[in-house]
Amino acid sequence: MNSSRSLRIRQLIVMMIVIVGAVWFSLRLVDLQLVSAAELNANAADKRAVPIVIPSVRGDIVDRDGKVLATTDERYDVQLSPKNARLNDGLFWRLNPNGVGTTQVTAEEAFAEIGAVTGQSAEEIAAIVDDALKENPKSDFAYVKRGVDLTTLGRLKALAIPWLTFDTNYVRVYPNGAVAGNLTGFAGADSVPQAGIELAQNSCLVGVDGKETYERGADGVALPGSVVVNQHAVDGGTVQLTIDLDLQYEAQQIINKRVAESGAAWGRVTVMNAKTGELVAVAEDGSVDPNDVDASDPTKREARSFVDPYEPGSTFKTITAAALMDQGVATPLTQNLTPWTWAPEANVNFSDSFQHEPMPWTLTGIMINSSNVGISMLGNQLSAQTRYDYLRAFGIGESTQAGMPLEDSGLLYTPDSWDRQTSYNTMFGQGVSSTIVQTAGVYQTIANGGLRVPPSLVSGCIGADGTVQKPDHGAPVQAVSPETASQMLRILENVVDQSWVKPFVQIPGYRIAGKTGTAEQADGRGGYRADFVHSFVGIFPADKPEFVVAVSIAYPASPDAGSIAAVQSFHDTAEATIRSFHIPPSTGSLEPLPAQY
Amino acid sequence: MSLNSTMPLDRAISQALEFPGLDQGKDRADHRPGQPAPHLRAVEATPAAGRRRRPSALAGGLTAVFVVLGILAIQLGLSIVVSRGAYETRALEVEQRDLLRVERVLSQNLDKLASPQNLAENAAALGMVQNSTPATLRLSDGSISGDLTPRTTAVSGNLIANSTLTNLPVVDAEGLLVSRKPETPAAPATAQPVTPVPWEGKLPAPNTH
Repeated sequence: MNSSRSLRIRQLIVMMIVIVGAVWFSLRLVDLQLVSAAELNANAADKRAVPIVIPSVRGDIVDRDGKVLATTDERYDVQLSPKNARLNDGLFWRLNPNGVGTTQVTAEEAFAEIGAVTGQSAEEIAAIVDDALKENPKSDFAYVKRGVDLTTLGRLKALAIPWLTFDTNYVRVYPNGAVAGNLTGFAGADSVPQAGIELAQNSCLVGVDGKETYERGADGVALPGSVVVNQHAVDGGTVQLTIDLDLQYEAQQIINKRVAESGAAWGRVTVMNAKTGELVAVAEDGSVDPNDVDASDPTKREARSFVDPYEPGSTFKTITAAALMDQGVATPLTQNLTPWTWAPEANVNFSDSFQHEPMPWTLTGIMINSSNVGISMLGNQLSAQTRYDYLRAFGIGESTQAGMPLEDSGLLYTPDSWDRQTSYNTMFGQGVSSTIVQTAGVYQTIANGGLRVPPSLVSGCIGADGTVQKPDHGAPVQAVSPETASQMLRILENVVDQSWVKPFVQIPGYRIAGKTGTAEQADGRGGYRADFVHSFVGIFPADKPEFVVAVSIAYPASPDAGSIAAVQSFHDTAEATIRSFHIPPSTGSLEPLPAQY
Repeated sequence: MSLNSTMPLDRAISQALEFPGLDQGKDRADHRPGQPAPHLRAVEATPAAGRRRRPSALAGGLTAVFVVLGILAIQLGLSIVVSRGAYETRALEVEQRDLLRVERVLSQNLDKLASPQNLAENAAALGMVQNSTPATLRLSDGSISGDLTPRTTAVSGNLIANSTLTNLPVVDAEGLLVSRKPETPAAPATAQPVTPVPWEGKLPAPNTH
């Protein structure tokens, strides 16, 4: 009986313990799973789940053949943990190279080893550590050096220093340096675009960063199955330009050389496809090397061909002559007895660039001799509004939309605000301004049967998924009739054949049409400078136009040097274009037009 | 308690030894001599079932424990395999990343070496000339247009900056790779620089038949 009672008591006690335990566990379970679950999960996620951003790579800028003009390179930031570097008196152990045993390394030895790779001294690196610790004794992060290359990274990793860590970042690289540097523009720190195509086409070039989280074990390895992709990274698109890299290089070489030879302030060369308006080369002297922006002249960092208009001068006589023929007022043989100076109204007078007797010139002769008086006497038969309308039809006073961030419209006042002198001056390209791209567009119109195709620099944006987006460059405009364009082309070919430029411009086997210009420029004080911008715009081959080359050389040491430099630049660039695009020689021969009657 | 648990087993063995169905022919001959064997005989089903259930309680328990242990072992094995896979994946990812980095460096060096500045500098150093006005052969009628004794122009020195080339070598007049950086003229008297002589006149062409 006694043993049976004690058994029951024992059973009761055990039962009580079990029940109390079960109740305790249940309460704890409810607490963990329901009451404080959210807080615990959040804490756990903070400790194990690592959110990471998968950076997207900024797209390339390529030329018409896909040659890389701008691309993205990876650089590496070298970082250290100052507190760990001084932990344990700065001692750590490193596995011997033969894999057996370890060697003790002091912090100072490690600093010297790092410095030997990065080009810093051991003291400099020790200073980085100590300065960081002085500021914050628990400091866990300091840069040793930013933006090292892969070779340096490999050598630093081989040191196996436990508190030395690395991070990647992206930088923009321009493998061709200053070739097309004016067009690509450049990007600053963290690939932030600052100029050129980089800026204008940023929305195409920039990608979408990806987001992932994963849970990390103590040794940094992702726990299997814990990776959650919140968003896939999408790399930026590729911007394709109409530029030909090799021709762009040659054009830049040519303009750099001629600007230096003639002692000019600046020079520009633009090569445009006569049929499509594509800009295959837009060269300027002293263009920026986007890899090293600080080394370049601050006044020459932009694409001046698009943002810096100037008075074009006699190259615009082509517009007046074309307007006259298109309106049926004149033909290439229209006669005009042309004095060297003319005062048609009170307070209005202008003259030709050289003194001459009144000459019996045809319209062709007026163009050959580039007579301001002659073209004004004939052009005066058209109303100011008509001449303004033709200027607009040829794209003057209207911003191009080639694809750059900023494209100047030039300055063209409406005819009601022209004073009397300006009304005459606009007939020979003064009192109006245009960019060299707009000027090339005028001759593209003549070369393309009177149809002006707006200039283009960006041919498309190729997205990461292969889709191509073509930008809108504007609608083509039939500025003059095909007959007018054809007659104008013939006049321009005679201009080259019968003027002083012939020996400088001619390329054996190719017929060339073109026109010079020597333009006065505003001095910014209400008057004109004493020196000029010398231009030549040419079309070749004249029998079957393929390309337009426009050249300007500004403020040379002497006017003759500038004029010759401009036509020589045209000749060299035209030759280079013929080689680059394998343009076959001309057929047929020049149809001469009389300059005098 | 331990006695209790052994008792049914002993009894079960003893009963199993006495079980009549084990050696039917012999038992019948021994225990029921002379009597006709009944057509139907009651089988002691219940005790037999009871006897079987009791030993299977332990066996079931053991089986359950072994199954649980087995599952744990398999789980452990799988976990090891999976985490080993994770390390392998990570190692391969690191390798892939490193290879992509190397590829990037190589392709970008290629871009730099293919830059017009580098090509022009090397061509100039080797004394190469350019055919300024190439002639053209028209396929439709086999006619040649252009001049077959073309002008040649020497490659002009590079005038366009490219800071990416500073660390890349360039060839000298003998076609050897040399550093692009201007070196300190150590012994100008002894080392006479070899300047290339650009080709002059008509470009030579082979006489083919």
